[in-house]
Amino acid sequence: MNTQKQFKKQSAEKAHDQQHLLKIRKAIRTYDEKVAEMKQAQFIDWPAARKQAGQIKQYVLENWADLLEQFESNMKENGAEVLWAETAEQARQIFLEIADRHKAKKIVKSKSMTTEEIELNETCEANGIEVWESDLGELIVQLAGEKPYHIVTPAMHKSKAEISKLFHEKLGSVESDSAEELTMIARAHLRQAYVTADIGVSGANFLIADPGLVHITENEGNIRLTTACPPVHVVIAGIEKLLPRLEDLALFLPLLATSGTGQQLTGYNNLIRGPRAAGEADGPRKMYVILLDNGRSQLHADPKLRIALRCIRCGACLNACPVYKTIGGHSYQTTYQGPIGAVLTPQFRGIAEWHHLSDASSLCGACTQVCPVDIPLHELLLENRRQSDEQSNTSLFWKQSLKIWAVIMSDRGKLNAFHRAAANGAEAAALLLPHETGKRIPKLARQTFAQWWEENEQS
Amino acid sequence: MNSREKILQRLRQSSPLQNPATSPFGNDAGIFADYTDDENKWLSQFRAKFAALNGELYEVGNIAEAGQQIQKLLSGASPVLAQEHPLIREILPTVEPDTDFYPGLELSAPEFAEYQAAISVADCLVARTGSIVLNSRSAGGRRLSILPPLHIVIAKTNQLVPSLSEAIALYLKTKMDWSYAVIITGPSRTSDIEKQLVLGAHGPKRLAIVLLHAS
Repeated sequence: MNTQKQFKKQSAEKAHDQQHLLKIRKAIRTYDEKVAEMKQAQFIDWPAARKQAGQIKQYVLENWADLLEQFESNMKENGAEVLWAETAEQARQIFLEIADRHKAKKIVKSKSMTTEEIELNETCEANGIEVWESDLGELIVQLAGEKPYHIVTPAMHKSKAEISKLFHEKLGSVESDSAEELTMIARAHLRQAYVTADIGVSGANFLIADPGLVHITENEGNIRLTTACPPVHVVIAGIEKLLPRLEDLALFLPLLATSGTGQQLTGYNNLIRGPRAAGEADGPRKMYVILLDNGRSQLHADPKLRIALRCIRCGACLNACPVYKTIGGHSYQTTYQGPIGAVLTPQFRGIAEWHHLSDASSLCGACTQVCPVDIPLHELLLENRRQSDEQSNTSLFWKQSLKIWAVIMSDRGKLNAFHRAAANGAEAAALLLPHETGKRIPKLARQTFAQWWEENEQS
Repeated sequence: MNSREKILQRLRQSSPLQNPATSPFGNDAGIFADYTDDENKWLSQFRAKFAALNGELYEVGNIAEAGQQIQKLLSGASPVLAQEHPLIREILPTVEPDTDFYPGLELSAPEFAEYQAAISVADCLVARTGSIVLNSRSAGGRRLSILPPLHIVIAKTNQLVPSLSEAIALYLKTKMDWSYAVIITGPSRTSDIEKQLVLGAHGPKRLAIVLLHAS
């Protein structure tokens, strides 16, 4: 089955799965309430703040190569090694060489969408390296043999009962209906991993060019442990994660926390400059930063779509999207789901195979409205559709229909005539609709709004 | 040409942007509704924000009181591992034994697991967000403040700053010769299971500050 057919099939299944719908709606409702409250409490003018954040990211896109070089030379000065990967395959090779150099048999990993993008877990396992996911949500999906459901909340789709059963089966723990007890089971399970792993692997939220440092945000403390205990720390980060100055975090940290989880600030904001410095008590003796391109620099060449590279992966557009909320994260079959995933995936993996993601949108603009870095997401979905059409991914039937539609729309008289025909036709068509789909066609008004206005307008 | 050069060259070859950014930098006072530059309000703001995060704040007037407070905190939470620091050395003689000073990497993982509490100092406290900022050089490394289930921070009221930008500015004035710093906002937490808040996910379940009023 091709990706498009699979997408349609899974989406249809999920859209009718009431249990799934209830879990997602509940999680997103909690999120919505917290976010609304925090925007109000923290920001004088949210639209102005996100505009400013968007401009800082825009500045990065304009000075990208220079800032990357600045980041690289500053990190080197602190004793970290910076490596460049043009493709996912190169990133995997670089990582395996590092693992080999340090004779690594076991790695502990914090949540990182970039490592999902390069399928690091699969690569490690195929090469005999054990991978321990340390973020609670990531651990849950790893044990379940699934992919993350959401870029911020990977196990959003799992109920307490499902997690309890999973832990019981995979970790041998006693079943529990308390979120606290389940969290403590994971805590105990992972403590060993931090202190026995040969390498700690993390992603990055921001790469600061001046002074060079890697910023990673979290609530649980698993990133702190992953980057403090093992003797080697490897960061795998997309090249678009840059920010020019340390001061920029004063805006971006509250912005990311508010949009990501409705918090003022997340629990731990880690700033990592390099491996253990001379005279320090502990810390890894070696630090590597792998900078991943994997399609990003090609996207930068597209003057319309490059604005998508502002994205800070907060997940707000997923939570706002009526399509995501209906079909769920797994239906996309991509690393990045929701509106941002529907913009990026066709660009990264090929429009011919993935344009259906940009098509599956009502273009309602809810994503654009919530984006904290002011990305016009729904316009980019439209641009993807245009490019897809240009590459002839559109069916002849659809193209001809649109031509006819253009003729109808260009003339008021033709539109009225079409409306009359459609109103009659719809009633007839409704009778033909298979009963079991549960779908109904509402009756169309006999009059168009223009006709109604002409008759009823009070002068 | 290697990957690095190929990536950089591609980025340099892209056509100029349509809407070049103009003024990318701002300040906290103009952005955040809860920002206050009134020094007299920082402590009360910090108290409220830290309490809302489930942090425990104990205010003391002198070193002796600090010692008594720590003693109370440590009942049922010993042994304790402390950062090697003059202020902590000054406070700790008044505290019961069962206290060790963190020797660094030579302390093995199983030995570390015995400790029920950690004591460290911090670089500053952020009023607007209820945060504690510390680094690997000034606060005794990376492991000390994250492994034990209780983290006690000893700080002074003159370490309060209004917002994150001031905390960052403080760092930028120094050599920044640390390899790691962290902005701690409340005890370790997660909401990954059905969005329910649980404290003590992987790091300390309890976060306490013993705050010395600067006389």
